[in-house]
Amino acid sequence: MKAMLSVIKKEMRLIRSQRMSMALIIIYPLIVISALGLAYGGDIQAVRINVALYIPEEATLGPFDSAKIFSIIEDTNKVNLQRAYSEEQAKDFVRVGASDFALIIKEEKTQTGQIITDLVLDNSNFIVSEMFSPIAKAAIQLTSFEVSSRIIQELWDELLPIKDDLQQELQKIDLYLVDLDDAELKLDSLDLSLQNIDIADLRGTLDSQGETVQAISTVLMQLNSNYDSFKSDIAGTRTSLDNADAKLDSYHAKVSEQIRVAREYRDSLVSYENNLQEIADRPETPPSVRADILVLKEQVTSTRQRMDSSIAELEQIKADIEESKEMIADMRQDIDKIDSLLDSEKQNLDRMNSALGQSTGEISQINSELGSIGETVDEIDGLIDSSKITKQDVSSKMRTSKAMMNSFMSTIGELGQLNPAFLAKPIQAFERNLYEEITALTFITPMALALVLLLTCLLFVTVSVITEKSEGSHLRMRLSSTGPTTLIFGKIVGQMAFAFLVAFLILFIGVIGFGTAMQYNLPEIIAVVALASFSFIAIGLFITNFAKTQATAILSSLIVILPMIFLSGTVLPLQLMSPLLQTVSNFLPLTIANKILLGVLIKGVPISYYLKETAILLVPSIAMIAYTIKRF
Amino acid sequence: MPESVLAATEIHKAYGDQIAVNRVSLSIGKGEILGLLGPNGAGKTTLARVLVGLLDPDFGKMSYFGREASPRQKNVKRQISIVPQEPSFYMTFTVEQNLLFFASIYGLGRSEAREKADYLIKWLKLTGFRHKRAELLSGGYKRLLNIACSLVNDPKLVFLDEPTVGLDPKMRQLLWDKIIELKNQGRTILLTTHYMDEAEKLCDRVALMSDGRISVIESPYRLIEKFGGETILIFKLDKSVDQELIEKVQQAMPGITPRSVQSNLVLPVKQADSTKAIVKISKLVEESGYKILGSIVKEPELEDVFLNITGSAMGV
Repeated sequence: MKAMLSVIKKEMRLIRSQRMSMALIIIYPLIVISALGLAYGGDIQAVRINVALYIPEEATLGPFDSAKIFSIIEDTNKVNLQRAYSEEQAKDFVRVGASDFALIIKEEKTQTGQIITDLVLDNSNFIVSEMFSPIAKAAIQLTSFEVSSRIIQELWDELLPIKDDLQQELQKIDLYLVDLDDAELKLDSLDLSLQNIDIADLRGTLDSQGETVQAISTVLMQLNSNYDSFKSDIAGTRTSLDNADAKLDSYHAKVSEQIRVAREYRDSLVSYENNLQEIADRPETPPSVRADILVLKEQVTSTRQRMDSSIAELEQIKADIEESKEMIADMRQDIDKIDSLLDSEKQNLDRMNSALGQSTGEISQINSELGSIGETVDEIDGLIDSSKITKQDVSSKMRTSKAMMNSFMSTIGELGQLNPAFLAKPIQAFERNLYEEITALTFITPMALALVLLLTCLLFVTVSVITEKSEGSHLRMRLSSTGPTTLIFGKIVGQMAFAFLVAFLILFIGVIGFGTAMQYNLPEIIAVVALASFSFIAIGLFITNFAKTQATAILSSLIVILPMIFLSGTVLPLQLMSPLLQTVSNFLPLTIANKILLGVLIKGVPISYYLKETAILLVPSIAMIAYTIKRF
Repeated sequence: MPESVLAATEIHKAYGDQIAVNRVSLSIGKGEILGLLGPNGAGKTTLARVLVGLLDPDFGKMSYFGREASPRQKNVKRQISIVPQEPSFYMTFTVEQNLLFFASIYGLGRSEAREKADYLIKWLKLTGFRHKRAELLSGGYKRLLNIACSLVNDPKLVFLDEPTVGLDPKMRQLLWDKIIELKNQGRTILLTTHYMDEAEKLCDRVALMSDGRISVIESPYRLIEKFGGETILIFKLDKSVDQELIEKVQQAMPGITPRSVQSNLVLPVKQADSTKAIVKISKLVEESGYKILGSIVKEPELEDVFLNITGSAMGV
C-alpha cells in the first residue's frame, strides 16, 4: 500500500514537473469543451439552407409561370435559392457543395395536374440530408399552400362577375324562345302540306327510270343486230368445215396409196441387196468384182434405209390427217351448241322489248300528274323562304349567346379541370438521393481516410522527430553537409509513402469489403492523398518546433486534432454552427481534406474544381515547413 | 607550431545570466590532440558545440583550416565532426544501417558509403554486430558505434565529448587506442574530458577549463612540472615517528617539511629530487632504528595542477 502511494505521488510529481505537459493538460479540456460547445451550439431552426432550383421555361403551376414559381419559393424565406438552367446543372450544384439540395421541377404533370418535383438530396452526408429533408419539404409545402391559395383566389375573383352576365343572357334566351315558337307554328303548317309530297325525289326517280329504259332499248336493238350477224357466221363456218373434211378424205387416200407403193419398192431393194451379197460371197467372184459389188450393195442398202424413213414419214402424215378429221367433227358439234343458245337468247330479247314498251307508257302518265303538284309546291316555297329569314335572325342572336355561354363554360371548365387533389397539393415532391446506388458506407470511406491520414501523418511525424531529437540522430543530421531543406523534405516524402500505404489499405477495404463505388481517376486520387498528407505532416513538423518530449508532442497533436474533428463537419454538420465558425471550419485542413476526398473519390468532381481549397491547404503548410527548416 | 586547423578567438556564450563560455580563445594544430579538461559544468561541452556549429556564440570568431568561416558552412561541415557524449544514432537501425544512412547524408555514394561502413565496422571491432540493432548493443559498443557514425565523412577535425565516461577499463583502453590511431591517421582532435589520466595519456596539450574560462593551455608534462607541486614520499615505519627523526630528516634535507602521521613519515619533495630523497631518507630512517615496512611515492598529477591553478578540486 505504501509503495503504491509512493508510486502515485511520483506519478503526479512527474507530470507536474513537465510544465508544458501540465499546461497542455489544463488547456486541453478547455479547448475540447469549447470546440464541442461551438460545434453543437448552433440553432437548427435558424438554419437557412442553399437550394439549387431548376424550372423549365415552359413549366406552369396553375396560373403561374416559371418566373412566378421561382419568386413564390423564394418568398417562403426558408431557403437561399440558386437558379439552375438544367437538371444536370442543379445536380452539379449539389455535387460540388454549392447547394445543400436541388429542387427540380419536371415538365410532365400527374393525371390530376400536379407538377412533379424531384427533391434531390446530397446523400453523401446522410446526417445533413436527414436534417435538411424536413426543411426542404417544409419549403415545398409552404410553396404548395401559397400556390393553392392564389389559384383559388383568382378563380373566385373570375367567377363572381359571371353571375350578372348569366342573368342577362337568360333574359335574352327567353325572347329567343318566343321567336322560335312562332317560327315553329308556321313550319308545322307547311309540314302538313308537304308531308306526303316528295316531288324532287319523284322527279328524280322518274328521270332516272326514263334514262334507264332508253338505255336498255338501245342495248336490245344492238343485241338483235348481233344475233342476225352470229347466225350468218355460224352457217358460213359449217360450210367451211364440210369442205375441209372432204379435202382431208382425199389426202388420206393419196397418202395410203403412196405408202403402199413405197413398201413395194422397199421390198425390191431388200431382195436386190441380198442378191448382191450372195454374189460377193461366192468364191469364184474376182476380188475386183467383189469390191465393186460390195460398193454397189452399200449404195442399195443406203437407198433402202432412205426408203424406210420415207415410209415412216408418210405413216405420220396419215395419222395427222386422221387427227384433223376428228378435230373438225368436234368443231361441228360446238357450232351446233352455239346456234341453239343463240336461238334461246333471241326469245329472251323479244320478251324484254315487250316489257320496255309497257314502262314507257307508265312514265308518261306520272309526268302529267307531277305538273299539277308543281303549282302547289311553288306556293309552299314562298312560305319556307320567309321562315328561313326568321330562323337566320334567331340563329345569329343565339350564336352571340352561345359565345357568351362558351366563355362561361370555359371558365367553369377551367375550374372543373382543377382537380381537388391539385388544389390541395399542387406540387408533388419525390425525394431522391443524388447518388442512387451508393450506400452510407461509400461516403464514410473518404471521411475515414481523411481522419486516418490526419492521425497517422500528424502523430507519426511528431513522434518520429521527437524520437530523433531524443536519440541524438537529429543532432547528426544537423551536423551533416546535407541541408535542412533536403532533410525535411526527405522526411516528408518518407512519411507520405506510409500515408499512401494507409490510404491504399483503406480504399482497398472500402472497395472490396464494403463495396464502395469509387471514381477511379488514379492521378487525382494520388494528388489528393498527397495534398492531404502533406498538409497534416506540415502541421506535425510545426508542432515539433515547440515540443521537447514525446508526451508534449502527442498532447499538442491531440489539441490540434480533436477540435479539428469536431469542427470539420465530420461528427455534426457544419450548417449547425454559427456563420463565423463555419467560416473558420472552411479553413481547417481536415474540413478541406474531407471535402476534396469526397469530391474526387466518390462524387467524381475533378480536382481542378478545388483550386481554392488546395491553396488554403498548401500555403500554410509551406509556411509551417519553412519555419521548421529555419529552426532545424 | 603546426598548421592551424581550428582557431577560436574570444568565443562567448551565455544563457541569460549564466555564462557558459567566457571569452575563450584557443587554437589546435594539425595532427594534435587538444584536451579540454575541467569539472562538470565548466563549459567544455558548450564550447565544443559552439565550435562544431550546434550552438551560435554570442560573439567571437572562428577559423577552420586557416580560413575564417562558420562551422555551419557546407565545406567546413564536410571536414569536421563531433562524437557526442550521448549515443546519437537510430536505436532501431542496425549498426550497418546507421553507418550507411549517415554516410549518405554526407554525400557519399552507395558503394563509397558501403566501403566506408565496412572499414569502420572492422576498425572499431563491430564486425559481429553489423546486423544487430543499435539498442541491443552494450554501452561500450554503443560508444564505438557513436564514433563510427562520426567518422563516416572522414573528418579532418574531430570533437570527442567525454568519450570514455562510464566505460569499463577494457573498453576505455580500446577507445584510447582508437583515438591514438585517429591521430596517427593525421586527424586533429579536440577531446573534452574530466579524467586526468585520459588527458595525460592522450593529449598533446591540455586546456584547463573552469567556470567557462580556460586558465592555461600546455602539454600535460609541462603543466605538471609547472603547476603540479611536489612529490609526496610516504614511509610506513614499524613504530611511531618521534620528533628526533623529524629533526634528523630536516637536517638531512633542508627546505623540506616532514611530518608524521601515526607511524608514517610524510615528506613533500621536489619532483626532480624525489629519487635522491628516497635513498637518503631510507638510509637515515634505518640508521635511526626504524624499520621501513613500505613506501609510497605520490607524483603530482593534473588534478593537482587543476587544484593549484583554479583553487578547487576537479570534483568540486
